Amino acid sequence: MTSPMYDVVVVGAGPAGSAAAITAARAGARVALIERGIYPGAKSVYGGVMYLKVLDRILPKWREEIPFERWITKRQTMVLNGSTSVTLIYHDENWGQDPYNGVTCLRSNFDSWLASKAQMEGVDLITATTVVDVKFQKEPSAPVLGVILSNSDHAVGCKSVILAEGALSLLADRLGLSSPNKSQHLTLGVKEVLKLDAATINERFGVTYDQGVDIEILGGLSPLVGGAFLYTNRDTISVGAIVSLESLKRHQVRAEHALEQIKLHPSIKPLIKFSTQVEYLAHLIPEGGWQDRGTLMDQGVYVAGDAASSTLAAGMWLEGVNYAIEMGITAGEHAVRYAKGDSVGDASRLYQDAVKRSFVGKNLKKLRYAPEVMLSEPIQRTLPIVLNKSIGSLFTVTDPLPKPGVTKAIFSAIKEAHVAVVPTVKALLKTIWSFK
Amino acid sequence: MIQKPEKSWGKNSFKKIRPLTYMTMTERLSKNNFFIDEHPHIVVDRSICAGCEQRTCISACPAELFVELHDGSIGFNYEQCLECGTCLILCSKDGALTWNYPKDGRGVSYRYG
Repeated sequence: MTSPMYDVVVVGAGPAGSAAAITAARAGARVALIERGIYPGAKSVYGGVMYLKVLDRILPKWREEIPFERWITKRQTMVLNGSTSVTLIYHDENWGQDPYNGVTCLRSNFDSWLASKAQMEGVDLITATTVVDVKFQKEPSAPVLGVILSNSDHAVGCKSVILAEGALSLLADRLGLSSPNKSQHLTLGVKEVLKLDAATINERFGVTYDQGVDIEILGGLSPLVGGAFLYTNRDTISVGAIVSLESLKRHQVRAEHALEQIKLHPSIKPLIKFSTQVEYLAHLIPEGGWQDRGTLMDQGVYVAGDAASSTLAAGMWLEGVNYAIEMGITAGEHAVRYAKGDSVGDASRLYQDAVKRSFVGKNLKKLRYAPEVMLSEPIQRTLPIVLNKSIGSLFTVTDPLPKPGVTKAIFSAIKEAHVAVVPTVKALLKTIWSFK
Repeated sequence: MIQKPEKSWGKNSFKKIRPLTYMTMTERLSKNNFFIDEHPHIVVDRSICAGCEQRTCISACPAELFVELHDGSIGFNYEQCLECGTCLILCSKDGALTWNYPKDGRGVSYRYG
């Protein structure tokens, strides 16, 4: 029998796929990286901020090389209610220099850059090609035969496959690797990219040319459940809404109308005025986290990134690219060992344990209840009302009436929100506990 | 025409559908790059859809690709699909949708992902 063409085939040239390909190629494997878009990033959508310290492991010079838009130096959390808003702003100039924190990038640039790094390691990058199936053989030591591509009837031979196909993981679903509950925890993100010249962005957001702002928004989407965001790129602004599919189904309200509502809010509208829309995007987000990781490896097929629900959607932490890269690196290491027959013991167990030991497993496990709490009624409905009403009544001068006092302001806000006190206190405790 | 957003989370705000668009879907999608496939990557079995009362796809698809036609059947255009998969996840009828990713690099190509 002739030896297969590749040791490892990676499906999807996103952050997980390219990181896996780089790692596997450096370990001496023959690797193919197959991408269904015409360039890496053509099918990728994310909010807009990534945290890339994890790249130190494979590309220590990434800070000088990445095609970034702006380094995030200002983080805001905005809570909207009706026509009012309460905003918490954290500004740190040091985030604008080495070692940096968050950064906005466009995925077409970033994914293409990361995939080009894989190419430099000798990986064959094959774009505009969809992997439609994985072929197996009845050979317990080497069950994978190869992958079937959309533009050829023949299988491309390989010993191991890494599925890094993203949130809507059709192949992992078909192979029975996805968690059956994954679809219940998917949210829909819709995003508009608005063109605005760089000087105006600098002025409006109070930043310099390579520094940017990250605004997370809670409330204002009613009756849908979810959150929204606004990020600054160099000369564009990404504004989007993330809504739970369950609430879309229940209320029959369009996600893009909810986004429109956010864009028309008096606190957001002046930030984006005179901009022109240049793209409209939509993508699913796997918010189930650790409990929806599914089977991470079976019969030589590894799952990494969003396909394994490695996204952290925990309110103040919205991360995915870094988790995908870390998981990709781990999958790459393990897939090579598997393909070369070097893995000792149960390969599936080894990969699962390695993911569990990494910051991906640790953070996702620690915060496993947070996504659910963030989408619960107390956070989605009660918090915006109570926060806005109580701050509003404290900041409004009531002359000639005497001032209400802090306790009274809060209690009358709670009363106005028609909140049942006991369940809310319970939910509050649960929130604190899930972020502990 | 720009309509003011309603007060959020009023008592009865749950049931209402707000026509809040100052931009039509055609305008919203007009700047996207689509490299249209000759073969639809999503096929809708309209005979199965005929027996569906929920029709979540109509309001849930973020590109408004599902419409109810005059005769009550479901109409669907795949050409401007954003390939998000919302319809596939929310469809409650088995077999109504045959959903594959477009082949050979076809479909939407995002520049600002």
